[in-house]
Amino acid sequence: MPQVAQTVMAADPLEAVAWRWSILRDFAGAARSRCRRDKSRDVVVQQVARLSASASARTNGQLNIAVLTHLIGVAALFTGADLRVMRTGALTLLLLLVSVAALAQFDGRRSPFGRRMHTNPAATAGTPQAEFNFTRLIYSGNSMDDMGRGFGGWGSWRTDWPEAEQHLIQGIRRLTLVETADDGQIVQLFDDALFDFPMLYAVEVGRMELSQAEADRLREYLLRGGFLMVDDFHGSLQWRNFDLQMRRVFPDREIVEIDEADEVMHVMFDLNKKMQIAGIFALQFGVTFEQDGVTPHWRGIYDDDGRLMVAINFNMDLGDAWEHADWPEYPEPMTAMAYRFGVNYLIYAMTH
Amino acid sequence: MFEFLFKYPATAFATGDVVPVSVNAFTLILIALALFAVLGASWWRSRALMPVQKLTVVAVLQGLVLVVLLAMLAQPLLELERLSPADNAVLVMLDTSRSMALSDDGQNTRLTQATAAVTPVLARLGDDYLVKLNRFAADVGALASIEDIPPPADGSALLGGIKSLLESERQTAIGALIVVSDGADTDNQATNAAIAEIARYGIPVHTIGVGAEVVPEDIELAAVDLPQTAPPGIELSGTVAVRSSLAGPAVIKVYDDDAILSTRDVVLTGNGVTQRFEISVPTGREGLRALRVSIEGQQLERNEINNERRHVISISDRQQKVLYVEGEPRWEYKFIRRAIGPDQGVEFHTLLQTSTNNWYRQGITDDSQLRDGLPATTEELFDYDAIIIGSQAATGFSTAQLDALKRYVSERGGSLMLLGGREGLADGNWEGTPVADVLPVFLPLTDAPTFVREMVKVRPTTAGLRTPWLQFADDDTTNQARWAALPAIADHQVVGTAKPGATVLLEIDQPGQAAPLLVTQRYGRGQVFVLGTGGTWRWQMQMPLEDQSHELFWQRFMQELLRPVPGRISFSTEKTWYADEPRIAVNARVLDKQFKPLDAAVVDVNVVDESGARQQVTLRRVAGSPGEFNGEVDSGANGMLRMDFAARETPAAEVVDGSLFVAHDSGRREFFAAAQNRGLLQQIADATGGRYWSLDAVEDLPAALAFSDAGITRREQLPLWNMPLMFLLLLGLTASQWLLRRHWGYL
Repeated sequence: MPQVAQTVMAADPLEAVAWRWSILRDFAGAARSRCRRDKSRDVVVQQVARLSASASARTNGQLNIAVLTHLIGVAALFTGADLRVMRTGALTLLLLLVSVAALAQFDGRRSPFGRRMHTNPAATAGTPQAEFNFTRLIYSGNSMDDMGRGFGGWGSWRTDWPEAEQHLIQGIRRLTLVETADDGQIVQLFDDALFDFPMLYAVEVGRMELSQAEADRLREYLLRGGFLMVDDFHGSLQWRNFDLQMRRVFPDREIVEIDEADEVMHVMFDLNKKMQIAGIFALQFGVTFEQDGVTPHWRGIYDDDGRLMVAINFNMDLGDAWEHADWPEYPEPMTAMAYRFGVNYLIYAMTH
Repeated sequence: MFEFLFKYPATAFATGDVVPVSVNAFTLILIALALFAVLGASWWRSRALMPVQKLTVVAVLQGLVLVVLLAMLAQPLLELERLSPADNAVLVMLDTSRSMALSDDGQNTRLTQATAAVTPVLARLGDDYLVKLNRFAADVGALASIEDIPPPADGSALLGGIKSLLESERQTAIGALIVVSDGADTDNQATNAAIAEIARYGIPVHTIGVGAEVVPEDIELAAVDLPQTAPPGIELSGTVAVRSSLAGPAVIKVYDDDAILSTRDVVLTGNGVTQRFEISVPTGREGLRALRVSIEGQQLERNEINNERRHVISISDRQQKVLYVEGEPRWEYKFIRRAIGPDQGVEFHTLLQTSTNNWYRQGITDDSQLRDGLPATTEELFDYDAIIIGSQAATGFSTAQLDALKRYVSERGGSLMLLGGREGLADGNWEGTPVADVLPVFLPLTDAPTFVREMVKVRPTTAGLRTPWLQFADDDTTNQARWAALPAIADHQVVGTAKPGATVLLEIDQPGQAAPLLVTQRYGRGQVFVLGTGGTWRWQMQMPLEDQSHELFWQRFMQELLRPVPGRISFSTEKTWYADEPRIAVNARVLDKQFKPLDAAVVDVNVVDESGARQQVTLRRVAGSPGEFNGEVDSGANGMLRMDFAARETPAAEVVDGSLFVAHDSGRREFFAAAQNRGLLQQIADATGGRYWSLDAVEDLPAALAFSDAGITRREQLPLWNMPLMFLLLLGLTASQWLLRRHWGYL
């Protein structure tokens, strides 16, 4: 899909909105017919509201025009409503969200939709309080990244935070004997505490851009025995960028497909590599892939002793599967498989 | 000086009894009362002439003068036994071993120096006693005269020679034995028990030390500490001790025949200091390695023979097996596994409980191993050479398994290590289990958690600093700096107090709160360690990639765990290189499959030396030590000696066999540890009632030797009132009070 690839590269957020809108239109017919066949209008409206709430929570109550436009567009297309009516509704919703977001500044703990809000996630990582602390890597982003512009101004590294780890942590506690901290940690490559957390999670790494110093630091971390799981990036363009970043880290190591027989696929659960664990937006369009990332890939970078150092979930979004584990609409088999992958990666990282 | 002040030698006072009063005590008391009354009256009368304080000082000094006078009037005596001239013999043992041919000053040999100093002494002794002159090296023999000294010979049977001589002269009235030697004892009999046995003869042994206590211009390879067996294809760690009086650079080389296996550049500090250096030796393929380890300096030496030692290693592909049981996934597990690695020649089985229903196995070579979790049978458990238990509660083991773990240490002789963790040690309720008996600590009795996630630094104790496998560097300063530079560990656990006999090797480095962290002790046949942390992984993650501290710590720890672990049938000799030792003691320990002592076994040893000469020895059962057998074989010709052991329970039973190799050389032993062993000579003298003499003081020996209760003696009473010390005291005290009065202006 070359058109998609070109649009993704757009640096201007407005262009990105236009791209998303065109995608929506392409899928509109099929989606509308599916909606009419499977769901009532009320269900779709509820779903849109839930998506809005999620978007707001993801941005700490700050408004994101692109997301909102998406949601309204989806609602319009699925319900067949007149777009002029929807625009009016959108404006009203926009004003409402702005007001709530302003109010949220006075009460940082609660979102306008009753969800728990969190303090600044960029706070320095503290002393490990348990054996395993889910640790999200803060990285520098490239032009595709939302850093300082959209998505709340936090950057793509923050995607799915904090629900993804909150849910996964519960899963780890339920399924394993790993002593796991209540909350996730976040850490930057040059934090002193980096080496106190031997496993890192990095998301949306198609937008990651590492300086050579950061790449050197990451290489040192991995060779000392650290483990990195990357997730939620899709399509050839994002792959190209990620591959470039990894070549800065390991110029002499290849990224390879993880073999079905590899221990990471069996260390706790026997995993199914064929299942593509989709992001929520792809599912909204009735597909499991984003951009041209049709085929799921479980890839990795190994050390000299054959131990996996970097686990690469490409064309996959485990973070969404964890985050939306409590959504009835999110396919349970995908969530279950995402949990199993997360647990396997963790047990592998703690044993190899 | 002593004799000048007290009139008689110290030996006289040591052997005799002092009688303080030999006159009528009543008369003496009356005189004392009268004198002190006069003194008191004088003090009273003089109060008006002098201030009371000054008067009192003078009176005290005068009183002391009276005390000395009274002591002289009491006519004290020294009652003692003195050798009866002409009735006693004095035995002399002159060391004529090869080490006495060494020259410390580059001109005269030790033997020359000794004969020059001793000859006039012997002449004086000959006036009063029958002097029986002997020489000793590997054995003892009579000498016709001091001029008739044979050439230097191998061996220095110091303790054995003394005992042999005293035994052979039992029928003679012996006043004393004089040993002239550098203190070398190549028979390795210099034990407290052997010295006590000599002391039981009741003959004072006077030892005359010969030779420098630090050999000048010499570098000596004092010891090589490497295992006797090792797996193929690994880098074996060991230590080399070098004693040197020369400072400067040197090279340690390890040869296999003429091929150099490893080299290490070192810097020697000189001054006779013994330094320890780590060496690393590749074991290579399976087979026998007769290593030569040498120290090669750049300086000229007088004695180069002691620069080289041999060491024999049997390289066997029998991999030792270690079981590591971990009750929860944690980073320590991962990083221990990484540190041990596949290259260490250890079959490292790990069993990790990942979830309530899942155990994860790693390192197994057969899918049937540990399939059902923890080893269920004693046989399966005893198959391991070492067992590590991590954060695993005792409740995870059955009572039978806990009993088996205790027997594993005490009877099987395995090594056991318990790590700290949420479910480890006290928090894992190990107290009260059979395993608690073997632990080197009394676990704390508390309901509060003893495991804390708090980063703390670790430091070695004094014992830890002396423990070779805990050394990160050769010299103490660098070693301590390396320990200080290690990052804090991620957590720690209160391990409790060390049991008597246990050794604390590492402790938590907190001001005012130092607490044991690594404690060890032997229990039965095995060794037990407690390491109260699961957080040494920070030594890996927090240190640069090139730093090997974490890997070294765990690899050496593993070698230490496996070092003393015997198999079912174990054969051993005390060392792998024998120099100038005609007999080699061999030991065997035979256990059945349950690792219970097998007393009924027959153990044969077939020995063949390099000349092809063969000997067969059946080992004797050691009374009171079930399953233990010992015996001796001839060391044979120079070179390698192969010993093939065969043990069988009954004539029809399966033979369990094994081989041992040792090296034997003649004419070299005397050149090692060639400095005068003054400590041993002093110890012999002290234990027997004699005295140690240096060559320059030996002229006083005849006078001191006379005061002995050995041999034929007569009782003497020697007056002490006229000791020079008494007169000096009188003079000094009198002069003091006179000078004081003059100084104060009352004269």
